[in-house]
Parts: sequence; structure tokens; C-alpha cells
Amino acid sequence: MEPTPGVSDELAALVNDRFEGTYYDGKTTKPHLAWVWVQPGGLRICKRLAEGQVDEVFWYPSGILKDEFNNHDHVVLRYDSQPPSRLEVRGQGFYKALLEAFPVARFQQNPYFFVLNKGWGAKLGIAAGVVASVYFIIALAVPFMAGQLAYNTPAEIERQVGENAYASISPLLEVNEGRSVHLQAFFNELFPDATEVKVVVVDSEVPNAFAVPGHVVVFTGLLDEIEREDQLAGLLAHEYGHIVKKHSLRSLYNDASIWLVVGAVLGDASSGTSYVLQNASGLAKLDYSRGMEREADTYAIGALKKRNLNPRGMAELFEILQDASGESALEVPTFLSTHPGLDERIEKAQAAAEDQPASAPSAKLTEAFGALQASAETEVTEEPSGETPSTEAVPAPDN
Amino acid sequence: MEAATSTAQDPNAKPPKILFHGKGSEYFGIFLTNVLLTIVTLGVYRPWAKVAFRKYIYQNTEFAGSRFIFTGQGSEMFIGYLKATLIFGAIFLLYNLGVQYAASQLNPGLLFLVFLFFVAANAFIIPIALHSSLRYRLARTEWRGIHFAYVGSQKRLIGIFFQGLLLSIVTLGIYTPWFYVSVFDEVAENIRLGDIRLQFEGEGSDLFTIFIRAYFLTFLTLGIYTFWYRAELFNFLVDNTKVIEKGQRKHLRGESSGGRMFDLLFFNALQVIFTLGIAYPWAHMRSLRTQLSWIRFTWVPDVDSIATSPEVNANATGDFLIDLGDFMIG
Repeated sequence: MEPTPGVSDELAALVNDRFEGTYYDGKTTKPHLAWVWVQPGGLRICKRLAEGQVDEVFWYPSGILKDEFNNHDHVVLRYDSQPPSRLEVRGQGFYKALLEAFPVARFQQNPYFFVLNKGWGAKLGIAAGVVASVYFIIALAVPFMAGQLAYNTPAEIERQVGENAYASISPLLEVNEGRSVHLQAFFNELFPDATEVKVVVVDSEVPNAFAVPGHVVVFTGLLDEIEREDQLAGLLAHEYGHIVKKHSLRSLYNDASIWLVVGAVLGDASSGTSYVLQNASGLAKLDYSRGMEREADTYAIGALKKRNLNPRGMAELFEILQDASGESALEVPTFLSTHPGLDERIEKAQAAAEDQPASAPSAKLTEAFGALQASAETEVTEEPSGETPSTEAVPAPDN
Repeated sequence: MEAATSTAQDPNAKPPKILFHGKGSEYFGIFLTNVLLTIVTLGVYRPWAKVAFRKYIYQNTEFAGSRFIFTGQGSEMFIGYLKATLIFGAIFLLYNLGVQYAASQLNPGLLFLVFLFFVAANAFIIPIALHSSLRYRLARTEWRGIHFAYVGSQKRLIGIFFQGLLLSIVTLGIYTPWFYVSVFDEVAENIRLGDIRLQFEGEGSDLFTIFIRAYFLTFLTLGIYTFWYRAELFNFLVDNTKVIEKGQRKHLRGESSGGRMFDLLFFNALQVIFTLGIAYPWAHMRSLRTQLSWIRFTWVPDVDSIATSPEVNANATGDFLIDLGDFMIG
């Protein structure tokens, strides 16, 4: 098949346009030297069987199997014959010739080539897409769904969740029964409709309070610093806000959904992806938690105004917390914290307080507050407060 | 091309190498696309992602001048994925309900029975998963136009697992290396490429020595020995895998070492950690390229006359059972 002088131009062109490759028939691994011509209708393949024996096959683009990630300099094609045969062509040029001859053939349609052939622009675009979709799912879609689920969860189930949560913490809490009665009375005066909520005072120096469905817990470390009705009302309204806005259920659903999504995505459990996703979902959870604190603050400010109490009480409550934590706590950047910064919360409460009249608590509220204060004073003379539970055993501060 | 067409063995020919051509920059694109599509489809795309990943890896692996190809399809993988999810879902649901019920009854005997059920279910499902995974993967692995095959018996593998797990539990884990070796034996024996098959010759006692040494030295060296342990394990697996070609036993050599393993794993880990995971595709490609280069062929195999392997019915369920169960096998 060597071109000889004087041979027609047609033959010369045939020789020049051929690609040299290796053909396998799908029955054995025996390589056959093959010449390949890329023609408008398909691939013409001339393969050598043995010395002097040549066979020719024609591959239509529709029969070429679409399953390869071809290198530009080492193309492998398989044909849908029985059994499937294979053609390998090394060297630049063949890949390009295929692309030019059959730009829309099925076997050329690999969505990944879009990324691989477009270079870094496409990759950056996809990377932005990954970040955007992670953000959309974790920061928007999942919290929305969690909210919908929480508001459609039967009250009985929510109550059960609250009881279970409280039952698992209560062995760690030293409930002060005497003062609890008075705090409960104050709470009932503030929220007469919320009769199902149990409010307790716990002996502990930690300045903290928290809520689970059906339960509000206030530590003496915080309660003892409170001087006025509107400060205490601010605290209880914030905690009750967590209950009204179903924050326990929502965090439960939120965490579970994030866990499911992250689990689903980590198919080939590759350490790289899991590392990135876990960091992202951890940060998103903190953001979610801060969002709930802000929501509870907003609820509390509204509740105070309705009862002729000035939100300045809330601002003072936060200042008390700031003083208490200022001595011990490390400065944590807001984005790494479960709570918004206290400065931010003080500002918000003060802004809400600006055009409000001074607090005018109802007579009954003042009376309940007086009883609570009195119960603290009688106690101090009796005995010093008991052993403080270790901070590790105490649920995350929620003030 | 002349070398490829000659059937006679060239006396000067050098033993072939396994070359890996995968590039981090390319894999990065595939990886990102996979992550994006898997996230936006809430995981449904996973089987297709897995197919794309394998196709890329296989096609960039070259032996004796020819590339491997993974011929599996996303659709068949998807069916396997659904089945595997259902099977696992059912087992975990039963287990969790059982645990909750036993706990609510305050019945430790019942709790133990539930736990026993879970162990037995796993002893049953791991070999089934391994068996069907091997069948599927090898049937869909093509090289030079022919595919591999796994011809082992599922019953036999289940038997090996039951016996091995039982003895491992009874001996408080001492039997484990012998159990592993019996699994490697059975698996290697049943892998086919045409009439070429494998044989595993490792001894449980050698693996036991490797484990024991690792146990003490890892502790004494504050974990640094891990790299040497990984290298020993790599060489143990490769050195003991024999290739039976035309009735003759041929040897492979594992060329890993503690230093080489350290270079690979330690710097990969640094790279991945300091780029918050972004360098993962590059690390992954480097890991494959390097480890494949540590497998040395000691002879020149006759790669030009291998006939096709027996056809086996294969589905992708086991592949995903292995994936979802995250078993530490092999």
C-alpha cells in the first residue's frame, strides 16, 4: 500500500488522510494493525488479519458506543457489534478529525466534555454553582422545609419532644422549688394563655436560661442579677419566644435534613468533599441558630410593648449578661457563635425602646416580682446555694 | 505497530507497567460536575457520578499500550443503587425498631438478640455485596476488546464469611488475619481475564505479624509507623498475588516502602487540608498514579492471545451495598 510515483491523486489523498491505529475484534486481545479514514458517513477501517490478508469494516457514528472519556492523544472507541469491537488511535489529530466530522454524533455527547474542554472558566462556573447550591439548600431550602414541618407537627409530638429533652437534662439540674413557684406565677401573669409551660429556677452560678417545648429554665446566676420587672419579662419573653416559634423542632428537623443531604451527596465518601461540606453545614447551623435568637428577641420586644413594658429592660438584661460573661468568656467572632453579639442585641432593643413610654407594669406583675425577690432574700439567710453543676454538663447557654 | 502485530515473543521485551494518565485538572472538572449534579438532584445523580468517575479512571489506566474501559451504565447503576438503599434501609429500620422496643421493655436479653440479628444480617450481606460487586465491576471492565469476569460461588463466599466472623469473634479477633486471607484466596481464585486467573498465596500468620507489629509500633511511634504499616500491607497483597498464565505461576512485586508511603500520604493530606479540600482531585490522581506504579511485573506476559472471558450475569446492587455499607474489605 505504499504510494508509488505516478499513482492517481485520489490514491495519494487516501494514503495521506489515513490514521494508523489498532483494532481488536472483541473475541481476543490480538491487536490488528488498522488504517482508519474519517469519512462523512462514518469510519472506514481497514485492518490486517495476517500477512497479506486484509479486511474492511465500516463504523456508523450511531453505532459507536458512548462511554468513553477520550484523551486527545489516545482515542479509544468501541462499536456496538457482537461482541463489541474496539479501535485505539494514538497521536494528535484523530480526536480533532472526529469532532469536525461528527460534531453532533451521540458518541461525542459527553456532558463532562463541556467542562473538560472549556478549561478553567467552566470549572470556576461549576465551582460557583456548587457553592451557590450548597448555600441555597443549607441556608434557604432546608430551614424553610424545617419550618413548614415544625408548624405542621402535631402538638402532642412536640410536647413529647420537650418532655424527653427536659427529662434527659433534669437530673443535672438542682431545681429550687421555692423560687420556682414565684417565677411560675410571674410568667403566668405575663403570658396568661401559656398555662402548659412549666417554669423553674435552678441553683447555679452560671448566668444562663434556656427553653425546650413546655419548659423554661432560669439559673439563679442570672435571676439574682435582675432588678426590675421589665428585665425579667424580657428574659422570659425571649425564652417563651423560642417555644412559640418552635425553635426546638425546627433545629431538630434542620439538623436532620442537613445530615440527610450531606449523606446523600457524599456518595463516594471522599474525604475532600466531606471536609468541605461538613465545614459548610457547621457554619450554616450556627447561622441558623443565630437567626433563631434574633427571632426570639423580636418576639420578646413585641410582647413587652403589648404589656406596656419598655424594651429598654431587654437592653439592660443583655448588659447584665455582658458583664457576667465579660469576666470569663473568650471573644468569639459572631460567625463562629451560636448567638448574635450582645452589642448587636443591645442596640436592637434600645432602638425599639426609643419612642416607647417608660415601663408601666401591671399591679399583679409587680406583686409577683416582689414575691420572687422576697423568696430570694429569705433563702440567702438559710443556706448558701448548692454545688454548681459543671459547665460541661449544662446545655448550651441560651440567653 | 510492528511489535503489536507480531505474535512471537520478543526476547528483549521489557515487562509491562501499569501507567496512569489521570490529571488533577481534568478530574477536578469531573469531580465538581459530579458534586454539583448530586447536590441539586439531592443525591439521585450519585450512580451517574460514580459511572463518570470510573470511566475517567479506567480510561486513563494503561497496560501494555491499551487503555481500560468501564462499560457500566448510569441507568443500571441507578437500579442497583435503589435496591441497595432499600436493603440497607430495611435492615437499619428493623435494627433501630428492635433496639427501641428492647430498650422500652428494659430487656437486655432482647437487646442482645437484636444485636445478634444485626451481626448475622451483616455477616450475610457483606459477602453477598462483595460477590455481586465483583461480578458487576469485572464484567464491566474491558481491556483490548475483552472483559474480565468473576466466576466465584456466592454460597461459598457466605460460608467463608460466617466461619471467619464466628472464629474471629470467638478468638477475640486473633483469627481476623486468617479470615482476611481466606477471603483474598477465594476472590483471587475466581477472577478471570480469558484463561488467565489469579491466586493469592499469602499466609494468615504473615498478616498476623504485620498487624501485631503495627499495633505496637504505631503506638510507640505516636502514629508515624502507620506509613510503614500501609506499605507492608500493600506489598503483602501484591507480592502474594500470583498470575496463572497458561498454567504457569508468575510473580508480581510490590514496590512500596514506608518512605514512599509517607511521601505520598503525608503530602497529599497536607495539600488537601491546607486547601480546604480543593486539592482533593489532584491528591486522588497522584495517589492512584503512584500506587499503580508500585506494582511491578517480573515477566513479559503474552498479552496478544487472550480469549474472551465467560459471560456472567451482573447487576450493580452489590456495588452500592459495598458503597453504602462502607465495609472495610480488601
